[in-house]
Amino acid sequence: MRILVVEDEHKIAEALKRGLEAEGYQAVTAASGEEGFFCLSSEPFDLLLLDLMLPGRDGLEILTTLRAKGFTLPVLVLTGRDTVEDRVLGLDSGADDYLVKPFAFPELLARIRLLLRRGRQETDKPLNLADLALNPANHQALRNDQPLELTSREFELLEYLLKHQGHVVSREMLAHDVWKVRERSTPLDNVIDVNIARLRRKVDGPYPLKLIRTIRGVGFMASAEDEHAAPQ
Amino acid sequence: MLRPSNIRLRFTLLYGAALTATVVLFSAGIYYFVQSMLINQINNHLRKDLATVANYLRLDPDGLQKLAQMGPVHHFRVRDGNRPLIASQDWQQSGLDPLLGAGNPHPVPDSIRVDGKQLYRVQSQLLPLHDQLYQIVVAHEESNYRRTLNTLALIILLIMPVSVVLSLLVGYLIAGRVLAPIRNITTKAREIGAENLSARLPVSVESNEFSNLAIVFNQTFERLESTFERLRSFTSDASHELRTPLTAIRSIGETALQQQTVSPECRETIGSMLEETDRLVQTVESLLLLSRADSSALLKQPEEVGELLADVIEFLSVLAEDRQQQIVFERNTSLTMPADACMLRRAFLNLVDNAIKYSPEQSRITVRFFQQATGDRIVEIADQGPGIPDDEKQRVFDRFYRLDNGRSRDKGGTGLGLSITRAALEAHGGSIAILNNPGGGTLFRITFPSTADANNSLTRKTPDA
Repeated sequence: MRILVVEDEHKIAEALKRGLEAEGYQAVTAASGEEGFFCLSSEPFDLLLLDLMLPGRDGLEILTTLRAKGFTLPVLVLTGRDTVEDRVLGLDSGADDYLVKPFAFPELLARIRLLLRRGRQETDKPLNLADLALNPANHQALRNDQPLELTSREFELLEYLLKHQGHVVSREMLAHDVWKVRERSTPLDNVIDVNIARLRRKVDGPYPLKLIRTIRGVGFMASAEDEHAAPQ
Repeated sequence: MLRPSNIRLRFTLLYGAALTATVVLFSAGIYYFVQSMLINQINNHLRKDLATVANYLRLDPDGLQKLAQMGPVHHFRVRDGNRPLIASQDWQQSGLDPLLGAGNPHPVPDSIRVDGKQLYRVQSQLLPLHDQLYQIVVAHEESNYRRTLNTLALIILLIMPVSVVLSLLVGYLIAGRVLAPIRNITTKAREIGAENLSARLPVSVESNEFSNLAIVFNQTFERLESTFERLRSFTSDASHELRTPLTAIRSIGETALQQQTVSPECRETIGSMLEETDRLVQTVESLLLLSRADSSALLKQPEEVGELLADVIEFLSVLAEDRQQQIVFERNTSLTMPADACMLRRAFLNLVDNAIKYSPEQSRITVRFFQQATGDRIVEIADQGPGIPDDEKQRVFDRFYRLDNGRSRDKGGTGLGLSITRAALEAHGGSIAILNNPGGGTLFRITFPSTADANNSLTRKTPDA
């Protein structure tokens, strides 16, 4: 999978490239809209990561031109502006998704995964991780064949973690996708922490293999790997 | 609703006094003018009569007899030395004789009252003729003139109170008329202060004192607004500018953690840095939220306050459960108003979260939503924590203010929570205060005035900077 990163901040572009490559993507960076345009015209890409605030031609202009020229690849817009108007404008001009800076890298990865497998529906599919089984269809969770007593919020949380198993899930992602709250706040973080702690007690409590892990400073991850192995 | 202002009263009294004084002076002037005119008239008559009598004496002494009976000089008396020579009929009836002395008793016209009734004006003259010395006295009834004067005085006295009352009334009306533009300006200026600084006072086309006042006010508002605007855009710009480096730090740190080769110690370090970065990100977000609340760039839709409260309590109940606390929600009223749900939710969220955070375990947190007799809707959030000292009750709403030397920092937070709460509430026409909780602990009281529904219908939708 080839991803083009159009970002004028050199350090961010480099970090993104490194992170994407660590995830197994091929990443190419471009520092301006014109350069990005040139790359897209000369090589095939599967996804475009586009910063809206660019020197020279604005990111939105690039996007509009691209769509006008018939480019259909998915575009994930990175924006420093987070007003509702800007978001709508971004999506109307042909963006498939957006992230507001400063975004969490795990969330960027999750969005990219989502965009790249777009079209493939996979809701309500039973989820498994080691001896943990989750069935969204009948709201049942089993660990080691023992039913788990989960509140609906805990169930959603576990479902979300399992859907992203092997990948880090940031607090932002949980806030947006599980709690459906647009803005982060300290109380919200506390609520997330308490829910994670309870979920962990119920899911991992008596078992030696801990499935829910905390990645300090980044977020949480459902993984059956050894605690000390590096996260993906 | 406006009681007569002090200035209006003073103006009215001053105006009344000035007008009354003018009328008094004017009336007095007229009175004395008429009086002296009348007296002059009599004096002229007397002088002419004296001359007539003297001429008769000099040229036709016998004619005096006829004069005494037929006039035209009605009151006169002529004495030859000390001997009465002749007196007119009217004179004899007047009873003036005993009141006049010998010699020349009244060389200039003088008023004499006879028996306290009739008033006469009298003038005498000594006339030497043919070795004799004649005394001539002429008189005129003065009472008629007096009556005219008295009538004039009566008219003046009758008109005086009417004119005083009239002048007070007119003064009151004029003062009201003059002060009306000031009242207008005050009302408008108050609206501008409360609603939006970008509005201006209307300036009348013709240039006068009031339009000047309005212009000066407008200039002040302009400066105020631009200062506000600068502060707001500084907060907003600074926050936006911080985003790029924060994005870089975050991306670099998070992608570094992905690398398999990073040692656990390094992982700890990067993780710790990322945690602090996250705090900084949240502070920046909070500052942006504050500048959004201040600029009233809110997207308002009808929301029910009780519903928002119930949501927030439900949302945070897991935190309370964790500390074995009980949240009691007494919902006795409802209030639907145009509100930015996100912002208002945040206001309540911070307060309830605070209550949970600072209350001891197994305590009770009470949220009450009720209507006062005045019609104001009240939200009260009471906890059983240590409470807030009186001298800090105002400052806790300040930005970055922390109670108790950073104890709250240990519990997380950006130090902006309560300032966001206050800004959000004020952007919705509400206010917040900390009261003494009778049961100990802290009691936050939010007041939505009964007119809040109306005030907030002036929703402005301005894009964020």
